[in-house]
Amino acid sequence: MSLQSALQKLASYRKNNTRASQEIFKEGLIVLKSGGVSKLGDEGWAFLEQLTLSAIDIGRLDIADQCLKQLSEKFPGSPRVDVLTGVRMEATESPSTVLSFYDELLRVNPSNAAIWKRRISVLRRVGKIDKAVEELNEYLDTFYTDVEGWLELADIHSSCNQYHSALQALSHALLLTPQNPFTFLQFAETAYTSGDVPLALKMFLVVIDMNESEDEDTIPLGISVRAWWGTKLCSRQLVSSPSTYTSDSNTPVPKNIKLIDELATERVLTAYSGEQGIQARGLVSKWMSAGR
Amino acid sequence: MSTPSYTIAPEAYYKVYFHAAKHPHLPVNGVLLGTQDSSRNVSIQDAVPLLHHWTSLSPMMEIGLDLATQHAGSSDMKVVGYYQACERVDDTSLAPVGEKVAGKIKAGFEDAIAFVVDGQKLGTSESALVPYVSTSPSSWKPTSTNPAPFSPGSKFQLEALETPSEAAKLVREQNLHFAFGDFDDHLEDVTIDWLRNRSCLP
Amino acid sequence: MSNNAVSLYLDPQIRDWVLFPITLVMILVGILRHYVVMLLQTQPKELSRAAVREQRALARSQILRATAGNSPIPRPFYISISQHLSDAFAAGTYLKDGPPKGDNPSPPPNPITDPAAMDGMMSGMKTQMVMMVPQMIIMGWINFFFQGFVLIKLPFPLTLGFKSMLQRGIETPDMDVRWVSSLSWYFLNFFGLNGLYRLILGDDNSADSSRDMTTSPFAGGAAAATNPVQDYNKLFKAEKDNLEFSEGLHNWVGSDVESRVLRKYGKLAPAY
Repeated sequence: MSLQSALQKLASYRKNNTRASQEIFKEGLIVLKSGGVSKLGDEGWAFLEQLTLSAIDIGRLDIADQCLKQLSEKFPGSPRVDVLTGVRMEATESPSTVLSFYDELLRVNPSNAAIWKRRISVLRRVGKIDKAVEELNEYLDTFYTDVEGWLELADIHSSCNQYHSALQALSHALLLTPQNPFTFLQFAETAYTSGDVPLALKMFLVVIDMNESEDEDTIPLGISVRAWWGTKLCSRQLVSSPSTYTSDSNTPVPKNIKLIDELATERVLTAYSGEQGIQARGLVSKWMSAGR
Repeated sequence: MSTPSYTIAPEAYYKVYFHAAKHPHLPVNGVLLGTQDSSRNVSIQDAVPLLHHWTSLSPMMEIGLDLATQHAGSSDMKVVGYYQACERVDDTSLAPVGEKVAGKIKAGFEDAIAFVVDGQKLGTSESALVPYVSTSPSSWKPTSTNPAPFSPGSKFQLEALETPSEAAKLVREQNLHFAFGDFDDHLEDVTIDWLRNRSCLP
Repeated sequence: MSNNAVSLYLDPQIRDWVLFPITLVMILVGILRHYVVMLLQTQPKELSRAAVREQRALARSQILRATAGNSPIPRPFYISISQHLSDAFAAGTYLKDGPPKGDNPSPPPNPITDPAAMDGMMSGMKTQMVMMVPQMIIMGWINFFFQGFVLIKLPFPLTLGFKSMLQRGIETPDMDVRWVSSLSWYFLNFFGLNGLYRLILGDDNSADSSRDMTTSPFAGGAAAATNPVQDYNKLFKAEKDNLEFSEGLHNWVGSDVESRVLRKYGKLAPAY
């Protein structure tokens, strides 16, 4: 592979924040070996940071150390290099060593968001969930706009079966990214898990409503398929016993629930009408009729 | 009444292994399909991978489990177990969510078993599966049977001893795990055959 | 006119000992200033967590309010966030120094006594000084030694309007506008060297002095200083009212989503 195309790929990974460590490492190594770092100019440092992270990710600590050395020589005391050093330490050192390293950095500069986040993730990893949640809450109270942080909080809560708290965290994430259907989808699924089926149904429908490229005559693709499945699952339960489902959020069960159920059935089966999907269709329609 | 014993076929092991290898930094889970003979020997023949996005949430899990159960029924098997792998290699605990799902499987199959993938043993010639047995429907504990699981004489056996090293070789040399798809993938692209995953098997 | 042009003959010595030195001195001073400013620049002071929190608290409620009319979250969730925020604003939880004590509102802090604000002003003034002093010295130097010198002749004709620009310091009504005086040459350099600096020092240089002329030496410091002195307590109180107002506007996108979806797929008659 040529140096040029490798560089282009790496830049696009950086831009999209993709975690494709194997690929980044493979191409990064080509650039590193051919001495491309110096040719890149200022971009070279961002590249080294990227390569360091991916090298740590796949366990090539020798390469990571090599990059880290270059970076810390160029930017001594930079917060970004500190974060990288911390991540590198997490790979080999004991969590307590890493935590005290982060503590020291935070003492010097208490508002360093990246270090704070790393510290929380280490806390979560060593199983101090309470402490992690407490710190994460404090972090989000300060840096409210960090969507990633809210999603992480939701994830911690739902892995501990605290679905109501998870929903609250997700609602903040929704406020921050009201245009992202994946957050809605996660909200819907969390609501379903917490037992609030009407709320889940509404949220699944919102996801469908957001997908403007789909209509009656198209085959549902991508995220819509998941949303239609979710809709079907919820509406099936609501149709069979509408009164038994209470909603913590006082979301009413839609009046047209029967119509929605029919529509969802139709749409899910449409998703399987393509040439490739047809083999699974039998199974799916069996599932549809079994629930009635 | 004797305790049940479990034998894992290479196919099932490969699939679990590929699933964990495809999403090294995400938690994954799925179910195991198999049959049981009259002397309570469970033979685990296949695995159906379910999720990798939000393993702690249930709606897609529910649908996936239903479909997998039906699929098992259509090929004269049963859902006999659950497996999961965590995003961290040193974590081999069956989280509350895992216990819930495993409990659900147990409701349909008395001798259900749960496996957690031990990330540190992936890529070695040892079996990376840590078996959990239930003491009551809601509590699951790692087996404390002697001898250790997958050693000679244990209740847990691999059908072919070289399966783990073979699986590691397939991932490293042929990248077979990229051809592998689970229910989450299937929901994004319904053409992915998550129930069978024939294309990834050697 | 043409007679004029012929009659004036510039001594090459003027070129070698006046024109070039002025230009060279100005370039060198610009470069020197760039490095002095770099030395003088103090790292922007790291804000404490509490200060960051205080600054960003308003953004929180603005985000919430912005979506109120078409909110992604159901009413109970919206109300709980909104209530939480307005309670916090009322109690002053987000204030840097904790909730205010007592009834009398604290007087707005004086920028001279607040060390943080003082720092900002000082650093602004320091840079301004570095900008101003050399320019004043050079101008004095030119005025003292080369007053009334004609340095170059532009190779193109210009209208009389440019006379005051190009012949500053020479009070002759008849001279061709194409002749440039020493003081005017200084000003031309003063405004025109930026491109050269950019070439030598990179885009983000502080050598260019014309930019600083547009702001008074105190304006920069003052603009930086007013922000931290804002009375957040008052802002929060005002925001609290806004929040209450928006609560009434709240409308969840999911409230009638089922009819919208059903219509889209032709299951319900479209509503006109």
